[in-house]
Amino acid sequence: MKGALRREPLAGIFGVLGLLVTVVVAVQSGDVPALHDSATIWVVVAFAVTIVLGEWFHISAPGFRGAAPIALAAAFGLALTTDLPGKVHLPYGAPFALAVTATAMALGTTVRVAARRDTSLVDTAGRFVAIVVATLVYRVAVLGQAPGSPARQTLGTPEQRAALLLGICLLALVTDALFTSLLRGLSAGANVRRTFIEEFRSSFALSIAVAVTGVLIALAAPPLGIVALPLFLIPLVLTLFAFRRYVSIRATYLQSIRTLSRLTDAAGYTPSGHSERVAALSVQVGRELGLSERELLDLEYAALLHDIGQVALVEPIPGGATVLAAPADQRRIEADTVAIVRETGVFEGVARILEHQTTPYRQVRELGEEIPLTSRIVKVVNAYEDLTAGARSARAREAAIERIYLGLGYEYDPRVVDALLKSLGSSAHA
Amino acid sequence: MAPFRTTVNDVSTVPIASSRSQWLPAYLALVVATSVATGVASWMFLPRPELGPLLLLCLMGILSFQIREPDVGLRISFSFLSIILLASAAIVGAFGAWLVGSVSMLIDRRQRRWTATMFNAAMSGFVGAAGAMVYAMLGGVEGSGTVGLSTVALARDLGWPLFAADVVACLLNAALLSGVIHFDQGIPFGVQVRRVLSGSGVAFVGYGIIGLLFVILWYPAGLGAFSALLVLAPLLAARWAFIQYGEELRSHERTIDTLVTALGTKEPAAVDRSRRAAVLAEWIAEELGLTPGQIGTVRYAATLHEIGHLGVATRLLRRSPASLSPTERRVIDGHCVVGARMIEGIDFLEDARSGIRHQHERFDGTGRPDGRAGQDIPIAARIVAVTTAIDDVIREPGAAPVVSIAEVARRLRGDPGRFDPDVVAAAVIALDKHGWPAGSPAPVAS
Repeated sequence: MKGALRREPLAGIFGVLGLLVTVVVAVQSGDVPALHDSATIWVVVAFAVTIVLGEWFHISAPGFRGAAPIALAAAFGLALTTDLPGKVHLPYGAPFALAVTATAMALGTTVRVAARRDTSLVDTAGRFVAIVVATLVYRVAVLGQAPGSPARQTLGTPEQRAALLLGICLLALVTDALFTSLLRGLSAGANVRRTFIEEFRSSFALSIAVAVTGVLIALAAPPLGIVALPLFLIPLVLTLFAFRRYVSIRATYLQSIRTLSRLTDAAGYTPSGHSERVAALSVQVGRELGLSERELLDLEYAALLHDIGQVALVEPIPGGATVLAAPADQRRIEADTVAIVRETGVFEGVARILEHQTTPYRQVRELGEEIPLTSRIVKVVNAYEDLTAGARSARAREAAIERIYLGLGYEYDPRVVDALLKSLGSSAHA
Repeated sequence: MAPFRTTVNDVSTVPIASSRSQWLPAYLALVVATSVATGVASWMFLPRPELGPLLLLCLMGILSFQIREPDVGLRISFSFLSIILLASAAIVGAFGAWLVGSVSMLIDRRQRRWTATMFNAAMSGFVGAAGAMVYAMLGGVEGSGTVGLSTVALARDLGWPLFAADVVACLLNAALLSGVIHFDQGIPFGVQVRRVLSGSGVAFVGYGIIGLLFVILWYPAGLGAFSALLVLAPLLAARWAFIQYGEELRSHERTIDTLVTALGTKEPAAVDRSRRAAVLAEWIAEELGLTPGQIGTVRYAATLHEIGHLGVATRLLRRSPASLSPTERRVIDGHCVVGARMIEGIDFLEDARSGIRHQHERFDGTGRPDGRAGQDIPIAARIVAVTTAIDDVIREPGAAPVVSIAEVARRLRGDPGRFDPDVVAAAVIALDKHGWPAGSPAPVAS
């Protein structure tokens, strides 16, 4: 818990406060249903257990916002369900529903943190905000429900109710995305608008499915009772299995990139570990220059693959150092590299970086050619790695930097070289 | 129910036309005739559906087919039409389900063979009607009869019959589909059924639940036609899941293609050799009745059997085999060990690695690198050994332009102890059935 709190203190404090406030308000306002009302208690327990489980089976993947679709859908269901079969009205209002959600979410998250699973408190807090919005808007603003009394159904046809509930859930999800990007922006100093757009886009489809599931649970509860909860969650659970497949697809591509990057090592064209070193250093330099996570991922892949075209050479270049090869040869290797990477069909961004990895910087200055910053990074870092040939001594480093300075502004982008020096300096101190 | 709707692929993607059986037209005609007869009979003898819901379901069916996930490598495409058909069984009955199934597949811009479109429409109509009949026979309640039922009664009169219809439709669909692929492409029927069911059968029976939810929303929850809009979200989620299934297969293909391209940059002739080896190995594996997973492994191992050449000096690879010294010969032969090591770390190729490593083992145990014998040699390696040998025979300098299959069999059996006799027998049958892999008789490019 401490580790997670230290990383995301704001979200942690917010979560604990939310839990306390909702529980206190629920008890104070007398919204807690009587214990002997076993039908109500069972419904609430079913929702709470599902939320805890949903928080535990939480999904995350690189380039994808952490999410707990089952928990969120069940929590929407709890917020919006007011009736059971036989015209039974559930005898609690917004405060109790929120207190149950907060407790279940806190429990699920605590278990996850205690088990040392990867957890994001910001995302959990965001989910809670979504539920607060949905519950307050529906139960207080629309239904005008008083604490401790059942909701009087005054809404129109089932269709109108469905449309209304969907609208409320969407509003809640937008608030969630806004809240999390604000929190992230505050702690990381990132651009809030950009984070918001990225958050919203990356989770849009899944969020819609979650919102609809929550609404469907609430709509099906009057005829079906609590059975509606597991029944309508099944499609979402099946989709989670598909999500695992999605993650494994990403893993396959990553594995094939790693394998490809080792091919030139295995074939003796490049010194062993060259691509990995270029990749690690490129990412450091990219961070220094403020690239986004997405660009950093492409940069890392590009750096891993930058030499793969060398497999076409009949005789290896001495030491695998492309920086010492004739410019025409460099360009041929580059063309082969790009052709191989294009064959994957999914790494267009990577191929575009590699297309310009040998282009001298002066073509940007003199001819106004557009060369991606990421390509310039690969060029500089590759040169540095070729020149030091893996040696880590201060002398090898200085000699390499000196060679690079000779090409400063002509071959290499001075900004990138500055960033390289900075990241070399910081790693030397570390 | 499995949402596999064939696109019985156009000729260009089928390796060679000789795989097609003369029984194909008869099979297609039989399926179409049965389906039409079922439709007519259900119109005459069973209750007729309401027009409104029928039109809506037809529209949803057409939509599902239009946004289907195209060919995912098994010459099959996925859509959530099966879920719509299942819901149709409970909402509009047997004739309705037949009509929804038939109409949905008739508009097909991607399919150039009208016989395939006819077959698809007939098959899905028949599957829809059959599902609906199973539903009715097990006491399934139609449409508005479900309103006001208790939860237990809903499970008995709606849930259970719908599940049974789901399973029946899934099996029927797999069987009809495998039949057409069998007659069209010569893939053994049992192999294809297992491939279809193991690939996605369980998951897609599971997604049938959406059909149940659809019916519940329509009648007991009182949403009527509006439920179609709401149920679109889970349907699209299911579609996304099907796409992931296709994407997974595609990610494997792309990885393999990329590795072969890398090899081709160094040794251009190796690309064609890989492709032929893959086709031949797949045929042999199918003939041996291996499981779908094993067939995949065999194909990967065959495609990548020379990937280790990337680790061998190019000047050695370019010399003619006769001019090599024994030491150099050994360096080249070591490529299978190098290759197996190179692709270490790619999870889905884990099983194929041993097929690459042991491709030079001899069946009698005197081969390299580990001297394994008989069944200890992985099946993929035994198959790759045979495909490589066949390729060598037909591309040998000075070989007749068209080598007879008998000649190939004679050559393979001429070295007893080298190959697994079962694999050799399967290879001969496969060659008899399919002919040579495309591009075989072409002159050696060097």
